[in-house]
Amino acid sequence: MPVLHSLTTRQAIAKLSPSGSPHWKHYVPIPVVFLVGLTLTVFLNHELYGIEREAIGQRFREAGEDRVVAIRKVIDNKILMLEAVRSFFHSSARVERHEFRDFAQPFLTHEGGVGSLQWLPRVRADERTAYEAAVREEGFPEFGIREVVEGAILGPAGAREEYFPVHFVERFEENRAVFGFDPLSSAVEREALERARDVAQLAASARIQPIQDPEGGAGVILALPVYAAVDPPASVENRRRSLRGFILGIFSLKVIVSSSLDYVPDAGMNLEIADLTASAADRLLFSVAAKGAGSEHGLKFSLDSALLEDLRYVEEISLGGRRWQVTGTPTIEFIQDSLTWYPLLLLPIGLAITSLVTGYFVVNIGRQQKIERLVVKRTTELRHSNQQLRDAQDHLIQAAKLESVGRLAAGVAHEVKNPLGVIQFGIDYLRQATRDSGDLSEVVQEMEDAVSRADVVIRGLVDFSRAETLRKESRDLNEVIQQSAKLVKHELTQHNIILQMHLADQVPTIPMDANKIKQVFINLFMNATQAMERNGSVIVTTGLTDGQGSEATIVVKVEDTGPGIPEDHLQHIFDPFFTTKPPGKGTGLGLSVTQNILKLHHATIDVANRPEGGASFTLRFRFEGEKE
Amino acid sequence: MSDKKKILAVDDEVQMTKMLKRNLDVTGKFEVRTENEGLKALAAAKEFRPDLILLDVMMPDADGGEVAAQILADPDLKGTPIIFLTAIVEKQEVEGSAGTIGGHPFLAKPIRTEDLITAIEENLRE
Repeated sequence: MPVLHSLTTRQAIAKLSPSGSPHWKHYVPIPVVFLVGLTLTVFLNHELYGIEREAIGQRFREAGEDRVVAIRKVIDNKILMLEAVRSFFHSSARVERHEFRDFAQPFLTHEGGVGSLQWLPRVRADERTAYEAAVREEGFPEFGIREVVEGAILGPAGAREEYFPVHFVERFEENRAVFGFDPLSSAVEREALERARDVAQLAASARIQPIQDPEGGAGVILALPVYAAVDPPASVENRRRSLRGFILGIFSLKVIVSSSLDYVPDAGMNLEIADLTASAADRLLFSVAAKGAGSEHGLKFSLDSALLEDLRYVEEISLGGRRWQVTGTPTIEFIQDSLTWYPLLLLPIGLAITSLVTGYFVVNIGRQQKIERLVVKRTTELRHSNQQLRDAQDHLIQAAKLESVGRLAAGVAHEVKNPLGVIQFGIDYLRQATRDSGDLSEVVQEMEDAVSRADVVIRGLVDFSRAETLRKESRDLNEVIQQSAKLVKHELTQHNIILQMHLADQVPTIPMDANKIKQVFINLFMNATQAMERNGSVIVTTGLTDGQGSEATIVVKVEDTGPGIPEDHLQHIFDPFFTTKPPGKGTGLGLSVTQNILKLHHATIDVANRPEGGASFTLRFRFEGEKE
Repeated sequence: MSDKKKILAVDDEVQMTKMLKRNLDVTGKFEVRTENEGLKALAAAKEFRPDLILLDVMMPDADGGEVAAQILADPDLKGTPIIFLTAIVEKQEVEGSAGTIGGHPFLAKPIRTEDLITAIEENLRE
């Protein structure tokens, strides 16, 4: 049964579409929430990591600052020491060797990193011999002013205008080699000393290799000029003229830095000090790795290697006319110790929260879907009940109308039929009296026809208006149509009209009063026959349409090949007493009666003209759809 | 004694009984007496002793069915054929009761005289 099968499928789809398969839009929030959660998690992770990096950077900067401050402090102490020695010289016209030793000794004892503390007096060329003799007299028989000869070898100083030999040197034993040495013979020292002399300020040398340091570590010379007067002369010329000599301090950078680091806690920072004023080759002064630096631990995350490379603390120290740059770099341990697991922890936590929220949405949308389905179901049921109520109301109104019309019609019929009866008897009498009188017989016949017509109208009216009690039983509509066709077969044949039946293979049985429904089809067939008069076809088709569950209908079409119905008549075709037939051919009640019978069966009838010509009546019988 | 059959026509419509009587008189076969009040029908019948009664169903003063019952209950009138004439009974009811009301034949107004005479003659034969 193909028709019925397709109906069932379509019904199933129709049932599903409003409630069964929820719209995809309902599910949009789920991926959106998930994506937002994911994005937020990644964003927060990134932000937290950024905050942590910032904090690490801040801590590193503070550690760097601490170190630079400590280094400055140590250097300031050295400068203070040199200035103290200078003040000592300013305060004494003549300083004896033992006085210098006594004065310098406490500094050397307490101040680490001092390789040697020296006094370099100015010795003019003409004073050299007497000077050297005087020192030898002090108990240094081999003393002589010496200088760098052929590289590093110290030899007797050549003749020149003036000399600045190392006259006093403390930590004498360790520095005995430089006793009598004139540093101005060496380029590095000369640059610093001449600068100190000319600017009347402390001057620092470029990197040197102090002979006192057996490890060969780098060192620096700090030189302070000592003039004849306490206040240095204003002009360079006078400064050169009035120069008495230099106070020199030779310091080990390693000791300076390491002693400064004693003041600050270990922070995992590698330090490097470079002399920006020196040539590229001599720039690096000193570098020290933090304790435990360079261990083999891997980093926690690959991201940290970037942090390791990015993190740098750079600060400049100005010292004796030179610019030192202190650069701090973190050790792997510093990074390791500084990093926390919080940014990483955020990922699973964020994902968990995202999953929970998404899950909530899934559950909530599911619940919402369920509620919506329920609402749709209830709305449909309500609509259906409402329709049924309206139908029942219409039916009641219709029944009430019919009842009142029926009562009226019955009264009218009685009142009209009696006079019609009188007239009929009168006609019969006249016919008998005027037999064979030509025209009069014809008149009498016309009168009788008129009575007959009036009688048909009265009968139709009574038929139409009668409140019917249906005797319903479950019947197959196809069968009822076929039985109706049999009843009009003779009439159709007479008018040479062919009845074509295209009935669905199987239609569901519906409750009906078969006699009434037969009357409906007989009316429609007769109507079509009268419309075509002779030759033509009446086409009957039955089929099923899908609908919303109980709205499924059996559709019957009764079509003819006649002239059709004028468009302006279409809306009145079911009105009582409306007819397009010639006077005397129809009561105008047939289609009204038809419609009433169908209404009593909760069925509908519509009329239209076929595009190819002829009228088309469409009847729809609702039936309960199959429950699935 | 005339061999004309005696017909009693009872109907509240004076014109109806008048025309009916005229048409039946013309045939020369019947002696027709008319009565326009239902309540007087029994008395008229007892007096006239009709061979057949034509009885209207709906009359202002009496119901045709009740009148028929009274007449048939009378020992003298028992067995008198009755034909009902009515303006209200519909075709379906006629079909449903095989053209009779309570076993009596029935004619719906307007009635052609020819049909009336046929019905009378058929009922007189029975």
